[in-house]
Amino acid sequence: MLALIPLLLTHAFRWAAQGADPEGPAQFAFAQFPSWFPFFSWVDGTSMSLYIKGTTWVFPLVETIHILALAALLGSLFLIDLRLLGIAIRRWSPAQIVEQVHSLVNVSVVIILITGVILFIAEPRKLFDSAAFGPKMILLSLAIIFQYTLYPRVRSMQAHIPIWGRLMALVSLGLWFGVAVCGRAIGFV
Amino acid sequence: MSILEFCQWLQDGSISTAIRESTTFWPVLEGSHLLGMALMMAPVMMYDFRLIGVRWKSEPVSKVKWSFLPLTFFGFTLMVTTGVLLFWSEPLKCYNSGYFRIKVVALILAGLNALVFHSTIDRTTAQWDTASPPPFRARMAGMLSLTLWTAVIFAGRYTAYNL
Repeated sequence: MLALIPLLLTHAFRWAAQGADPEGPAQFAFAQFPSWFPFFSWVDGTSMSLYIKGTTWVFPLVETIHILALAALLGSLFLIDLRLLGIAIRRWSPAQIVEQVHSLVNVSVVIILITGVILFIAEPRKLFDSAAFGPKMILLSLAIIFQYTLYPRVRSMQAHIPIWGRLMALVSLGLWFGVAVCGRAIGFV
Repeated sequence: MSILEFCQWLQDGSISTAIRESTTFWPVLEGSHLLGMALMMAPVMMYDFRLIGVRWKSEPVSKVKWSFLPLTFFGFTLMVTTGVLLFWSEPLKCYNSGYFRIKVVALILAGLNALVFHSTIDRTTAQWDTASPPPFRARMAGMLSLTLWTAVIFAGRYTAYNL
């Protein structure tokens, strides 16, 4: 799992260096990299994938739980980040808010990842060609690394918030917002 | 004019058609609706968790309430604004969707729950401000609120699936 992250980053740089080709696959899709195809194709043929495709209830249920957990995660981070930026909930310090919401954040991340994997298994061929899924995976990797390396430093912040605390709020909001937007875009593009 | 006729009239209007056929405005509207959901759900959950007695246990109920209420109202305003426009863009689909009806009923029940809570047990908050867990009726209100808003989200998402 962790080994995927540098791979995805490498791909991100290659995308950036590449021009758009109207004839070829969508510019930011995994389809730009044929070496990924066997993996997507293999998932597509697994019995679990076939089972989900054969039902009408699994996908909507799993996707709705995915979105519910996303609301809980994004919402909890909004609370912390808006406090860091000094916009809302000034009655409490960031440290106090983090103490109350961190378990909700962790539970939401776990639910989002589990349901996300199931959603991926349900339609890998569509995601292989999707221009939004590739960027989503890159932003997700960055967001999770940031969330569990630098971001926990927020826990030490009391009433005074240093400038790097505000910066962290903006990075956190930007990354997770990007993940959500790309995720929603999978349904549109 | 029946509800169906109203929906038909709304759908035939130029505003409904413009939103429905727009390739950029509609996705932005729906995205904002989802964003508003996150913005509103988190503060609602915080207050409900305090009422149920699982989070913010050592903090006064009134302090939890007043620190999260502004954000709740902001998120709610965003939800209603984008929600009305989304409904406006496809009223007939909503009218014919069983899930949308469940969503409306759950919304009304969530509103009633809040109304009953604020006009009864909430008025005596001063007497149980630091109690953890709070009185039974307050815990019930918190539990009902969480359940009903979850139902609203479920029914809302299911409206789009055409099941």
